[in-house]
Amino acid sequence: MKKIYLCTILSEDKPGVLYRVADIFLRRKINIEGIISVKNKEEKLSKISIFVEETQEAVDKTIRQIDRIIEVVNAVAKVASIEDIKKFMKAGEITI
Amino acid sequence: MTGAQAVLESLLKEHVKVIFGYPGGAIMPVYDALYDYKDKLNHILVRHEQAAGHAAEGYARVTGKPGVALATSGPGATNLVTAITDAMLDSVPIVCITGQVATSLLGTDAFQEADIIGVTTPITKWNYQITKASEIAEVFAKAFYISQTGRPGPVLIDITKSAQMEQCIFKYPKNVRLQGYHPKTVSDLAVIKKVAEIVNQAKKPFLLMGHGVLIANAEEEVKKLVEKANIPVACTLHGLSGFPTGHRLYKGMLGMHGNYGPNVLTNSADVIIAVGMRFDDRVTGDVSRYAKNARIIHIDIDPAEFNKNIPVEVAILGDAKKALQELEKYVSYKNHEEWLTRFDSYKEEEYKQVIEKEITLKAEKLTMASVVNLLSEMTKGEAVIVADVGQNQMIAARYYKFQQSNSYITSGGLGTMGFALPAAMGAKMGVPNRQVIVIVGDGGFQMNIQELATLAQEKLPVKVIILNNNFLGMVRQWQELFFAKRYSFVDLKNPNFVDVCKGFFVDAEKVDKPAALREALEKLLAAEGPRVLEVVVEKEEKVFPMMPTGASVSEMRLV
Repeated sequence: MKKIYLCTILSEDKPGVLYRVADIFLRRKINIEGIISVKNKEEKLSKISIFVEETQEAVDKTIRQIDRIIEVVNAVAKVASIEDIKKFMKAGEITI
Repeated sequence: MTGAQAVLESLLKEHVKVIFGYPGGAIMPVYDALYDYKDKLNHILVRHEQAAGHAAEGYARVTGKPGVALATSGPGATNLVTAITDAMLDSVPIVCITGQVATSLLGTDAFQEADIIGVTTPITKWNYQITKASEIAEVFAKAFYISQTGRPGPVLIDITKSAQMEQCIFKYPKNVRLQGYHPKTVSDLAVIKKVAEIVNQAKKPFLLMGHGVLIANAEEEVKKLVEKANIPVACTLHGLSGFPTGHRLYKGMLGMHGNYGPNVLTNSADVIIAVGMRFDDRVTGDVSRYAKNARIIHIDIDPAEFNKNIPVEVAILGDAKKALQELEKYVSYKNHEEWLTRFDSYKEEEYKQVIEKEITLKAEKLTMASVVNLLSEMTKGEAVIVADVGQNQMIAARYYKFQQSNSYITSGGLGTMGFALPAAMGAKMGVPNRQVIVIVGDGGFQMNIQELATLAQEKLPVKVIILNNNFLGMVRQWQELFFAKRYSFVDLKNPNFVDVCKGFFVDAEKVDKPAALREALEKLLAAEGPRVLEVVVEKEEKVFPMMPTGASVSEMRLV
């Protein structure tokens, strides 16, 4: 059964990581519902949050492949809570 | 020094001995610097960049060290793409270095500009574009480290022409630290004990070994383990040659055109120990009917492979060598004679229905298998066989009786026709004292046929056997079996191969009578330089056994 998952990817802050991450979703024809990428300047890491609507199995396999990306420090996924989705919607409204 | 010199100094720091490459505008500073490094770095000038990539793969496959390919920007770089993808699918460590337009011209559609980082992102383990000379040392150290550790793979370094020309201070890092990359080298002992328990309780255990065993140099460890626990072994296509074919526990090859017994009995096994293999669809057939009676133990260095195609009960993440050494300590000898003899009856049936008639030299026509069988006998199974793709590849895999590891080189994952000739050049550079023999079809030989010129220029004694059936044989076989014999664009009007070879200054001979085969093979093997033997074989020979697409491993066809 498909559910909304929140994938959280912690990675070195280097160009090209988002490209590799997006490509892994693309290869499995998984549509990205929402995405936020924010730098954490102190840790020199970048945190990518991605929402997808998929089955647990597909998400697990995708996450393991994302974790293989050299720059990725950690990649996890969980079923998104209402709170997660609300936070995301709010972040999307921010204008810089 | 200049960036270009830093590139070459980096290669020396990585103990690179040979580079396969092709010059062009955006890589000219590196080629200019290479002029002064001739005595330290051996550069092989190929005739097409794809061949440089495959040669680097061939070199890496026989030596275990990264192969290096060098090309210019744009078309030079995009010509590498097939070889890079090939290396990605077969976990081969290669380092590709491409020139790029000057940093100031990036993104302007400049002459010979291609976004090779974009193009190769999905097909490399890692890639990076260098725009400043000061980055070179660190990026090269990273690239070499990444390509050969963990699950090996291709990396690409793109260097702008301006970075090659800039001055820099060269300081090569001793250690590489990457925050997100820590290839696992040890395995969890608690899991190993649990696995040993499962293995010790098994009535019908079966070990499947793949390429990972060869990459980890764990051939001896597999042998020790199966001998101690008395377990039969089968190899995947890339596992071939890692286990001696004459060993009493060796049961043959897995996969679509593998041996009858090991495929069918996969579904009878109660415990499967899969080591350094990835349950490829050519091995599993229909996954929903694969090894359903077995508890599956998977040993691999890449966690993304666990449960990808086949659900496993216990996964051991880590280096196969160490995992097997640990596991061996806790397993005990069990009498599996009844289980082991079950393989024998399948072997007999396969021999009677397929092998016997295939390998026997007949009076009038040669079969592909009879050629490989005689070659195997004449070389005592000690040569490095570099097979292309298709029927020639499967026949070589099935009938060559390998005695030494790292001796069967082929494009398994990607199935790249035209792989064999350039890969053999690389293999020969890697192991110059071993006999390196290409087995290729008449179709595949014409992809990358230009490398005959490289062979001639370098006087590389690569030996080539063309199994010529005037067809794209494997596709024809499928059309015969599954497309009602509608032979759609598979018959080839071939050139006169002997004349073509001679035109390239490579000695060649053609054989079409079985009686002449032995002598022709003797001449081929004894030749001091490169030599080609074209063997005219039966036009409509088919490779059996065969597991049709969508069938289960237990539904292998003998005819």
